[in-house]
Amino acid sequence: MANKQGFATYSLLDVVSTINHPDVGKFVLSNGGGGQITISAAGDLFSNTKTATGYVTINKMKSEDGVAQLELPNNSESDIFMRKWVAYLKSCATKRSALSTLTVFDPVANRTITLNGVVPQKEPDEGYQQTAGNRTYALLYAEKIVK
Amino acid sequence: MREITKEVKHEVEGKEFIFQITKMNALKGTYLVKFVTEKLIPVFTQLQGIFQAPDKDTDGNELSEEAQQKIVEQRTEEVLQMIPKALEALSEEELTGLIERCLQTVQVMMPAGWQPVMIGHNFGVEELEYDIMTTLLLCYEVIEFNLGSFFGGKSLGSFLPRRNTSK
Repeated sequence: MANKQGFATYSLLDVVSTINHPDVGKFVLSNGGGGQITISAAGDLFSNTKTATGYVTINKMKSEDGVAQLELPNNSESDIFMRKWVAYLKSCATKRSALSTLTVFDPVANRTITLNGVVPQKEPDEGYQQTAGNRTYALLYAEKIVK
Repeated sequence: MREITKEVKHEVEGKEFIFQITKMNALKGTYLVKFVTEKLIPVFTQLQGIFQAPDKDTDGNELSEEAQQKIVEQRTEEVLQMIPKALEALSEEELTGLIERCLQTVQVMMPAGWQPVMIGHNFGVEELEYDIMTTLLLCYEVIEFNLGSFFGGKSLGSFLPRRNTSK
């Protein structure tokens, strides 16, 4: 958000990201050792259909789903919660598996991104090196709501 | 074996949850003792007996169930009027501090397994986050469970108002 001098302010440390599933519980990832979060939309919103003569029709499309990547330090509280979450989603009734939400609140911009229908795309890579690494969780979401 | 956990059941939003309270260790419990003796006992002694309907009226005649119910309803109103007075004695920080300390010792059984009710300063279960009544009941049970043996091995019954606890 720009202030009077025309500077913008930003802080990842202020961002609160929370994952919630009614059967697993709620966890504030940023408190348990969060890293970076990337949310990428999957589909196009517009495309052009062009005829041989060059006439263009603009197609308006709807796409609300996408991919989110979470980077969490190995063995952090967040990581432990996410492992439990993945393990539960693997074993639970299919009906209950799409109930997770991921909320990212940026108080500086006063902006909240809510992802609904969050599921893990695959299990994160396992690696044991000399020092702790970060684990990247690839998540799929069905719907993104920005407020 | 020493029993340091206790399970209680509560209904939250129409769903029954099993909560597990773990006893605080002596160091953490001391804070609770200090808090309860300093702040809560004066409040609870005022509330004492208010929940329990008497069997007989002032002349010694047996009271019908209906009449007992009426008395309980009247007393509930009295309690509601007393809540602001009771809370006046506690500052906001003291109250949130106490609730957080209490809830940090409670876990809830979710379909995925035990989940702490409070993680740091955040709720670990969404249903409870907006349920003031269950939150306060759990705090009450934590205090009673931890300090029950402190006051002469009986229970806090002499200080705390009696309540039907489902176990």
